[in-house]
Amino acid sequence: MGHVERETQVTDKMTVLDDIHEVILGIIAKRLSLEKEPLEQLRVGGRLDRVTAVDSLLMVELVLLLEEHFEIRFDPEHIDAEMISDLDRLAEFIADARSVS
Amino acid sequence: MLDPVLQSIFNQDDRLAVIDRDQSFSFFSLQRSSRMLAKRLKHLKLRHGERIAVLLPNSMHAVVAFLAVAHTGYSYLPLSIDLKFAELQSIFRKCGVRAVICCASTSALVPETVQVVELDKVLDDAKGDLPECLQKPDPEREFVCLSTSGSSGDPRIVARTAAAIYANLRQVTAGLQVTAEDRFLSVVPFWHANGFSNCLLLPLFCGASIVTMDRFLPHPMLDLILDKKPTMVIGSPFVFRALAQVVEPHYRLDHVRTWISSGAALPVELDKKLRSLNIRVRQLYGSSETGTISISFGDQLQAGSVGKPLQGVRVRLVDGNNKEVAQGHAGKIQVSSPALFSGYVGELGNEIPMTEDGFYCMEDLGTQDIEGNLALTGRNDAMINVSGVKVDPVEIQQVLMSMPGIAQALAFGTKDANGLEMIKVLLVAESKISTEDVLHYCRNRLAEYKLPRSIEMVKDIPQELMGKSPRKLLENEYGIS
Repeated sequence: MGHVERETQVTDKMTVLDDIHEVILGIIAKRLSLEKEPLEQLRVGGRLDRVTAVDSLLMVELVLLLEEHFEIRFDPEHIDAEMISDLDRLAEFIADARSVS
Repeated sequence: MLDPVLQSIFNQDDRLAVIDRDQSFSFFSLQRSSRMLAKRLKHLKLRHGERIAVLLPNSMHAVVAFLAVAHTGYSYLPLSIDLKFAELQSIFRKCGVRAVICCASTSALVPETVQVVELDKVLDDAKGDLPECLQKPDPEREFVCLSTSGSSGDPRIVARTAAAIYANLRQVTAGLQVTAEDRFLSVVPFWHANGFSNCLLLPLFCGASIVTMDRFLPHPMLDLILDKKPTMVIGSPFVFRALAQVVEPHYRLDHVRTWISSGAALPVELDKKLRSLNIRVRQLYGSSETGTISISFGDQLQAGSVGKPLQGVRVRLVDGNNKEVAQGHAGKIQVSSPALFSGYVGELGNEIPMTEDGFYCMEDLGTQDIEGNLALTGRNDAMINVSGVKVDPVEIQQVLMSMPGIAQALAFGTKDANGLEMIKVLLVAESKISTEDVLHYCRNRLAEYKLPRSIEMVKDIPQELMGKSPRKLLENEYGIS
């Protein structure tokens, strides 16, 4: 694969991840009814556990919303509070799951 | 001779007892594993009746741990694996815990002064003859301690005797008509009163089998329901709400003869949605102190309806002067039952809310119709119900007030977008403190389910709210329902 093709692939992937990231932010903001400041903190910091408690209940709710929106299924062995909290990691997982299905 | 609870369990031999992930375990294999663990426990040189804590997720190992503790005559103290070090230390101190059964992932939570028994290692290393049952039957011995929320910041530990446990088992077995042919699926943790009594002990007592789930996710739970074909499914309104989003009308679920919801009132609109999916849920009402009090019949749900008291359970409703209220009027619920607890551990001298004629005073308010059907109408205290687990706002406030820079703190329950109760806190800070700082501080001291979902910084908290149930004022000012 040539240098230009690799760069294009990387750029495409980053665009996809950015798009997924924005969708995740939108779902979280709507579900949690986040105020402007915590939402900005989330957008900048990228970690949900810095703006709210990520307990098992929230995790289940977000898993349901994300599974429905992206038409994927989270593997229970791989999903935990840490993954749900880290929006970058979550976006990558969703991108991979979509490319497989 | 074993006491009736264990006798019933140990009579089952090769019948299927537990399905954990994709592995099946018979009663015989559970007995064998529990005896191996019991042998190890005896080497700890604890006193007869001493409490052993168990820190395990729902699993075959958790069942083995319970059987081993019961087998050796110690008192079983199951605890949430979500508790933090400080919370566990407090409970261990209160209960005089000197030993814990856990797994590799939970052993790090245990203070150094407490002996750790890692179950995996015990079962892998066990050699030699297995001990016969060592426990002498004593119905008045402390059989189990269950952690529940207090109202003063400290969790309370409810002690229940073997006799009380056995009485409740008989009541619920008759109420649900459980047989050895049943198969239970529950995501209610075994440390929770409902999880322990109705999802662990009840199936074992009846010779029924248990499908374990170490944590709840809706699709995996649905997969288990369709694959393992349980006949009894037990959850909370939160679990059923999530399940209602993944179940499709064409799924064959008629092998489930009983669906049970407990921990909080099932919303009427959710009940309607579930009925449209052929899921008729029965509501179970009880507490750590009383065991199961009543189970509804799964008829069309009236708001708050929890059915008639079980056989042997008496319920009455009283007003503020402890006089019984007139038919149809709301009152504070009082319960009399052979399943009542024997007291709170480590609280000698503290008053137990019990009347002179032996009725335990619940904090729930309710009504009762002419046929004896009970309906819950509210609570008399400020407890926050986080998906069936009561959380004491005072405990959260105490942690927040211990944080440097926080001048005032108020914690209360408020409804989220789905109508489920969540924790909100108001804070008055003396210096600039971020939400992240607050969450980080709390996360080191409180189990995740006790953390606030919403944190609001305010200039002042009215003094009349501090130390009192703030519901009326908060409804007006801060929009809680």
